[in-house]
Amino acid sequence: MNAGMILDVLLAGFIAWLAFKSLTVPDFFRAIIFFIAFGLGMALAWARLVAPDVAIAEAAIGAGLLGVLLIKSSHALPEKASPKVSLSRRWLIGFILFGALGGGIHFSSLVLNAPAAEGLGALATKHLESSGVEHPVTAVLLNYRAYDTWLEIAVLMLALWVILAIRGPSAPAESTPVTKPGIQFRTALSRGLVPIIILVSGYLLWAGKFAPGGAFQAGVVLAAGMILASLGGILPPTRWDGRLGLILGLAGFMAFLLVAIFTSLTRFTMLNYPPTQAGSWILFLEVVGTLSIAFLLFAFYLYVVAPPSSGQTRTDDSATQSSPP
Amino acid sequence: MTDPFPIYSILAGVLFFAGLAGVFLLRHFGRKIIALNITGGAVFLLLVTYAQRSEDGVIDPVPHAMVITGLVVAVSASALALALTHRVYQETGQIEFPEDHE
Repeated sequence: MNAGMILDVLLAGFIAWLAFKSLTVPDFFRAIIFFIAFGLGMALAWARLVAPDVAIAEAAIGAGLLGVLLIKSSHALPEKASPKVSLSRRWLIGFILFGALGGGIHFSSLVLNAPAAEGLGALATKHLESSGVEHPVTAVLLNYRAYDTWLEIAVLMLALWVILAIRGPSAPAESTPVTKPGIQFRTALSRGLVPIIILVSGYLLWAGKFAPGGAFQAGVVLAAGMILASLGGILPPTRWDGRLGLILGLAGFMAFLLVAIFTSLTRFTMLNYPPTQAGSWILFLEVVGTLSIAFLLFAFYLYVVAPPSSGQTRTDDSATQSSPP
Repeated sequence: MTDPFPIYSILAGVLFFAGLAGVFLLRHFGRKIIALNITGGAVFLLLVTYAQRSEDGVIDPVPHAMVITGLVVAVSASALALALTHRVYQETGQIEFPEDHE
């Protein structure tokens, strides 16, 4: 029993507690806050399991962006208080506890008896010199399994298209709202933080070559910067679901498509970069990919729910909604 | 440093079944989405726990890449689920599954 194991036990218990609270606490908004904290706890768990890339991605996407999406939706998905709330909540907590403990123990007894296997780590490092980058996870994402990354960007695009397609009649047809004057702190915060966020995003993109980082982490940080800029009102009013959005959203997918076509024709294998130039090709794909990913995630935030119609009143959030026509 | 594998695999099992119970037992649609994400997080945890456990000590980067991909796909699916939930609420006024009256 040493310090590492004590830390792991405490962290695991903390994460489990946060998950239980997010499932059982009565208020939906509070459940979202517990879920965000759960995501950050998971980021710590990734750090303990020597997975820094996953830790950055979880903190940015899993806790940060998903949390922002949930918070934005929380006012649009009100929770009706059920009359029999106390009895059913007790059943709910009981089932979750029983399911968690019983299932976890049974599941773990299967898993703990699994033998340690060789894995693909040795294979990944063996071909690292010819992959164009120096970091194994980036090599997997953008060289060995670049096809998966390509389709992942396609999934982002598809989700956005469906979200745009099912927008209701009260959806804003105009550009993103400009903050009403008077919300000084939010504007000052955006003005101060957004340039730094852009720099951090650029660094993460560049650092992916030799350290944890890469296109996804950089794209998500950039999306967070755009969301902050939108909240602070420093973005010019633009129509994000028109031609500009089409170009930005499609750019990542098209970049991969062009590379795939070119490599299929010249090297007879799709996405098989020439080993000496692999680094430049990967950098090109990462840069375009980062811009696309950032825009697509920002568009999730913009269009996931429509702002409340003019009939409803929101006391503290009125500045972010478009003015009723 | 001692092997963290048993602790985090047990945590993965606990989170998976807690999230699964939440998906079935919670009535509010938004909470179901949260529970589904907890279940997904448990699966990712198990993948990464296996990745750091190999005989020659080299950490397997392929499950890390799969988990990063999975995180982004999970967020896309959650965003789509939230949008659908909101539309259903706008059209029908229903935000929860009704209680069974038996």
